[in-house]
Amino acid sequence: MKAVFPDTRHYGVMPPHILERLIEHGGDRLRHSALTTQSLDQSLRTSKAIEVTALHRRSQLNEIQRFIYDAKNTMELPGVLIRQENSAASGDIAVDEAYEYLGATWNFFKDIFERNSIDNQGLPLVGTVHYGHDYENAFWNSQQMVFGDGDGEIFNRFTISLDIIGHELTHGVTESEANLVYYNQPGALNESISDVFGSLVKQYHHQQTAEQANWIIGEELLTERVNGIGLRSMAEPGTAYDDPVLGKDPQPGHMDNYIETREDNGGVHLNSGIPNRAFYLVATAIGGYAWEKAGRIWYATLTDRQLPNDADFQTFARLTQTHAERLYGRGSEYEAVLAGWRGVGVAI
Amino acid sequence: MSRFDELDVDALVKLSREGGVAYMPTLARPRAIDFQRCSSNQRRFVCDILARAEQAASHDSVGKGDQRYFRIEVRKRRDEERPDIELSVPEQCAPQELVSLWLRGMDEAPS
Ligand SMILES: [Zn+2]
Repeated sequence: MKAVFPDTRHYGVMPPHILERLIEHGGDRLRHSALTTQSLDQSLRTSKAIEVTALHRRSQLNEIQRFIYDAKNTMELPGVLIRQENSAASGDIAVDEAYEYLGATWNFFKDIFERNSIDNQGLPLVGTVHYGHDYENAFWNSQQMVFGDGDGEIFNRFTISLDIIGHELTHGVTESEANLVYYNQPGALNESISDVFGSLVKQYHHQQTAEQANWIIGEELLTERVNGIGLRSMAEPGTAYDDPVLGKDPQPGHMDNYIETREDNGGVHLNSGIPNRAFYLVATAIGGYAWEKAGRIWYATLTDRQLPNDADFQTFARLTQTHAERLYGRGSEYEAVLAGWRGVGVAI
Repeated sequence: MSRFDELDVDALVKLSREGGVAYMPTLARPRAIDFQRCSSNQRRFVCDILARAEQAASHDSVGKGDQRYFRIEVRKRRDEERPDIELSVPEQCAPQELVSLWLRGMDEAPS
């Protein structure tokens, strides 16, 4: 079936039925961004479920295997193969960023945790870029990673930030380990773990200490038209943006401000601010490179079979305490873990 | 016939697009359709879309790994605290009419 993409130029006027803050804040940027979403869905609805992973052989060696596809602005996955392992740069910046940053993420997990790819069994890394029209998202669909171009008004292309690519790949890692339920507190932990390791990938790539890192997620992602420094701040949740169109970053950084909501799977991208800040507090209290100790404690927790898939913050926190003690004894690292969780109102 | 056909002038439908790595509440663009302010033709138009959306709705969890989805709440009486019907439709399965309703409201509805 041929995909039909409506011409968005004809949707000139904001409809009268839009509720809430859109009425107050609906400027050109938001309207443009809303309209671009329109053109997405036709082709995907008709797309068959392709077993993407079946297309790619697993590496028998402990080597990275990357496959970068171009969806050519449709929603067909995986799209057209553009670049694979050891092939030259394509000249398409989204393709080459996906290739480089998936590589950086793979290297991080290999170098620091001796993990062999997403599933620790050499799963090939499959990424599709140019997904949809002006698509403002990136995701992991249990088989591959997918990146939109952004609308150019609010968001740049989603391959532009190393930590976003690390975030998506980490969703695959979490799925193959604790597989935390994507709802309420376990869902917010799932999100936080992706932010934590996404940020660590970036810090490792730039060889930054916990003090040198800015702990912003997606700092290249917002265009210069937006009054913001990124999607989220792990150090100070709730301060990443404050914009006439987007509103203010709503992330809480303490249990006192935990958001009870039915939206966003129970606020998984909102309440993740709480465990994000706990990690930041632990990492900066320990000092040095965050991946060396704080990251190791978090990774041991994520890969511990004792971590239930419906873990709440407290359950997760207690396991980080257990692993801090097992790895480093009852020293300053252990105290940092206790203080970090206390700092966000999670009692161990 | 669908279970939405019984909705009358007291009903309220809410629709938003949620999730995604860049989730921001403002970008969910919540929309409410108050059946009291709709003609019977418009109510039927919305109910048909809801029936189609229900066919595409997921019974499993949605949103995992930053995949976006549409969330629909239907209240038979507008002031009820909890919705009577709640649907989650993965973005890639969403009928075009649902996306249109979310984006442009009743612009394409009959009078
Ligand atoms: Zn995520």
